[in-house]
Amino acid sequence: MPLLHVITSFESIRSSGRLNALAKRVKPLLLSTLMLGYCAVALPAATLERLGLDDLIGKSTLIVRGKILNSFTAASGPVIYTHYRIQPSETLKGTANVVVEIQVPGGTAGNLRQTFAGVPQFQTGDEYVFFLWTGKSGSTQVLGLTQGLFSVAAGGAKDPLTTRPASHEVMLDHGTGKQVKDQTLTMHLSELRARIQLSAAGAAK
Amino acid sequence: MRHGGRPVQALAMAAAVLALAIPSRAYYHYVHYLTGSAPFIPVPEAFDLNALPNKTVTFFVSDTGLKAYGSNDSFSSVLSQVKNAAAVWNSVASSDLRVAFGGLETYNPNQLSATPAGDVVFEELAPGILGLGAHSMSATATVQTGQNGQFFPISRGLVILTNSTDPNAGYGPGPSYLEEFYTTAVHEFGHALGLQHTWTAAAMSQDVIRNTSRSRPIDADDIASLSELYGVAGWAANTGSISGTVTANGKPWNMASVVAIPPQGPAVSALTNPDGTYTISGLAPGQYLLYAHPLPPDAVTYTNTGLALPVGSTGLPFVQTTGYFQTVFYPGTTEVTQAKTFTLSAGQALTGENFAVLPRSSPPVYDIVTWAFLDPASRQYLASASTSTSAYIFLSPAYGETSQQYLRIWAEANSMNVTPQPATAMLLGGGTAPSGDIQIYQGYILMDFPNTGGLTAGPRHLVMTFQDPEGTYVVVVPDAINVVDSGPPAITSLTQNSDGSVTVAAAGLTAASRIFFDGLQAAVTVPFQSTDATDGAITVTPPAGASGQNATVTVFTADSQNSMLVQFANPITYAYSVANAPQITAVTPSALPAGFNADGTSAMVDVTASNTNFVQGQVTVGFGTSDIGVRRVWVLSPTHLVADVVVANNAALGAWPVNVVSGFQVVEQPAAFQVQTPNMTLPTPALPVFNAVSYATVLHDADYGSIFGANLDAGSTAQVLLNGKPAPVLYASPTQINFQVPAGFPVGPTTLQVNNGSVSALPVYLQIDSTPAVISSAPSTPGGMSNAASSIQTVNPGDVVSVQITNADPGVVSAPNRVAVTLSGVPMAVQGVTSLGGGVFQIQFAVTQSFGGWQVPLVVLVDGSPSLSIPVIAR
Repeated sequence: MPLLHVITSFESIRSSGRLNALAKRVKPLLLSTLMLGYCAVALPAATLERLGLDDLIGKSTLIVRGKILNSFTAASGPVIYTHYRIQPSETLKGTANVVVEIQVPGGTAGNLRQTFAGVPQFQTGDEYVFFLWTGKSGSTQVLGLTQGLFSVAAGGAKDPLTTRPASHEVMLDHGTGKQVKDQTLTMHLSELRARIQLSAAGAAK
Repeated sequence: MRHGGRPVQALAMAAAVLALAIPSRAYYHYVHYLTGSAPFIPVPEAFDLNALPNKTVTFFVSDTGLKAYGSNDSFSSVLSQVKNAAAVWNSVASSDLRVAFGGLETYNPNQLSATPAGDVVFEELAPGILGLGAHSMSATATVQTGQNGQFFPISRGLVILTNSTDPNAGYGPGPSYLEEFYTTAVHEFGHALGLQHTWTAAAMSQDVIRNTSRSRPIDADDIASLSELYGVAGWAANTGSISGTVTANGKPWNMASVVAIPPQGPAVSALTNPDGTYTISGLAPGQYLLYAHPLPPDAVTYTNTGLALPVGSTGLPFVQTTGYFQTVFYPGTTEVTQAKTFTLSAGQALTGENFAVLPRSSPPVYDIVTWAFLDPASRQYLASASTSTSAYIFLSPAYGETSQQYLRIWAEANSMNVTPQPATAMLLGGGTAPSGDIQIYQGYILMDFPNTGGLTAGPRHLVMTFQDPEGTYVVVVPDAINVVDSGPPAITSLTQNSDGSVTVAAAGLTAASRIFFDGLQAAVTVPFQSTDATDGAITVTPPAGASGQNATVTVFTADSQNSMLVQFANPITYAYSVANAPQITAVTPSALPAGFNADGTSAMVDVTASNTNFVQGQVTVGFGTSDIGVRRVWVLSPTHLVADVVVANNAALGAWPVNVVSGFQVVEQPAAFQVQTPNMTLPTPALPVFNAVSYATVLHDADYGSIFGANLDAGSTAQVLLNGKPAPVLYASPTQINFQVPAGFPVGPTTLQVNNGSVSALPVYLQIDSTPAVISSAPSTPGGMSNAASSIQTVNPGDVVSVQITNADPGVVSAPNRVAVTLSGVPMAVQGVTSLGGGVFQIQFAVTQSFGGWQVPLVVLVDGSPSLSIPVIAR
């Protein structure tokens, strides 16, 4: 289905019938935040909106580095949620409790198993930087499925690499509304920390 | 979480036996393997057709509704989209599974339905997530065997949609009247029915390459996938298959994707099994190229997002083969022009089409997004440098027009950080030359494909090659660009007529255009009339509206465009008048006993209401539980309807609500219906009643009918009463009664009641149809008339098709609204009826959507009475 994005200005281009001038003109406009109206793209599995790193930082109510402690499942209406408890070792944004609990749809409750393709599953001991969002309902979720997860390289390095895997999901760039593909992001934790602090500082101004 | 162990020896034997009789699953579902060694026969998770009432999985929508709505959006609008999304999967003629919208439900953990069904709920989804689909299964489920082979039974489907369509909420997809909300729902329904992702641009396609719309809501890949799980007997007879293996250095490659792709037409794919074998089934007859490609890096991730891995006999997942390989076209070339073309006929199985692939360390590029720019003023797609200063609209996937000198495609790839420049790029399907002008600009690819003439409308596949140190890498983007004859429509006016109809005038309107009010298609009263070369008008009757509703009006064309592409900033709306709140005033009977056998308890339920506008074909009656199945609804007046219901065996006892959704009107009465303890003395006639000769579910006067069930004849003379009068009974046994509808019996609904000689069953409603029309010719398009009655004609979206009928009332000529034409059960746009003399009538209709190139039934209905169907191939 068509994804819409409106460009409100477009400079004259010589009618060369070819690409050079056009390409150069278009790019700045593509980068501009000129989205008029919000148009979502129907996407595979989960329908996802692309969240760049700044989006993740801005939309998160809590960013923590932590390990999965344990999990349990519980049904909420007809939906089974798996609740994971995270032990934060560092809070990068917001205020974290000693243990942070997040919920992810899917799991086994009683005799019923629900499988959601595209939803992360964690193992005890997994370590991530979690970009979390607590909604009005009070439940805390990971932003945009895997978009809100940066794995922390094992090995105990002082400044480990963190990696956000590229999602298979089709994504909509929130600023432009353009259908884009996610990109794998890898950076040291110090760099990620700095980006978060910079973004938070910018937001505070 | 996965299954625990199970007895494997006996099952392995059974699996081996079944492998000889039933083709291997060709598609990617939620798969289990019962053995740890070859042959690997995938056993999917699927609904048990025998456990479903009338083979129907009914989806119920949570009556909690959403927390917030966008401008002009409403719960009624959301319901309309959900209803249509379910109808999409119900329209697959090759599937024996029916999918229904069951109205509203209130979840009560203390009163759960026993009958498998589905739920649609609205949840607060974190930013970045717009919808989810899943299904539930017993954690101790065991393998079952059905008409399509072995499966693990799904107990419940689940669709989770966002609880806010307010674009200012900071999350959610925006208003439900946007096409994306609908296609999202279609996709999530697919998961709920047991489908996983593919890479073919179909509804279940993963990644950015999905290219579906209201005019192409599902495609061949989806149809094949659903048919693999739930196919009617002999469904594969009209299709072909291709099978083989994928190996690398002689070793099998697990979870490689193999795609059969016609030069122009939808692709169908399959994943290999752990032994490297694959089978692509459900291929419509035609020509195909075949290629194998590795799953992209994000297909299966360490966080288990992406594909759900197949599960082995130990309960552990089968991991995919690590690494990647060079994508190749069969028989092993990176040059698409040197690829073998397979010609497949119906029922043909091509085997041994093996790939020996070359491993590589990584793909240089994957997950291509394409887009184009649209000038909203001219409604033309930008295909060359322009001097216009108008605002341009960005669309994805790409669009281009058949009249343009070039087809222009912008693209971006998901490589690490930089999109590499393709070495070559070409569009399959003819009409264009390979792009000789490929530019890369800060991550974006720009390609122009010269129009060489003869370019026809429809999606086109893009094939690119990239060069890196490991060699040539092929990337195929199915349906990368929608080629159209002209730009999208734009509504120019809405005119309210004195009879309540609305005339919609639009630029770019065609006979195949459909008018939607939010998510409901408006019934046409005056078909398309052109006003000039590019503009026209269609007069419709708005769907029954909710009080004070402002419905967004959208024109959808058969080529996947719609008026919102150019008018989304200022949508055209229709204001329904404010009216008193609708209410259900009576439900009779208000209680029924639960069933005590497989037939359940059948009965007619009469519902009267106030302030409603019930319209036949727009009404859903629900009881908030899948244990009460609604088989058919008759609208007797705007405030009166009758529904045939079946209360299931072992139905949950207690009070249930009654709700009616008619158009956009939603009315519910809590606890209005009681399910009581079973009455073991009752005769239990099963629904439907069959035509004893044709075994169809259509009866006419003088026809013989068959009633099946239990306790129908107690040894005395069983009676069948139609409208209270005895009908001739030709045969009676406890499980079957054959009777005859008296000659001259009036057309319309009638009560039917069985008395077994001792006890009367509860009455049900039965439709006596008028004598059906007979399709006397194969459909034809203006290009020519088919003379072979047995030939299967092909129709395309947008075609205006003629078909001849006999045995119809001549009055249909002046009242064409009495005539309906369906393809695969989906109504088409009837343009008119003309008399050819001699009792022959010609019906013209426009094909409004795509059906994936499959063979589908064409039916003509006169006054609701259906003809026998004829097959057509619908692109």
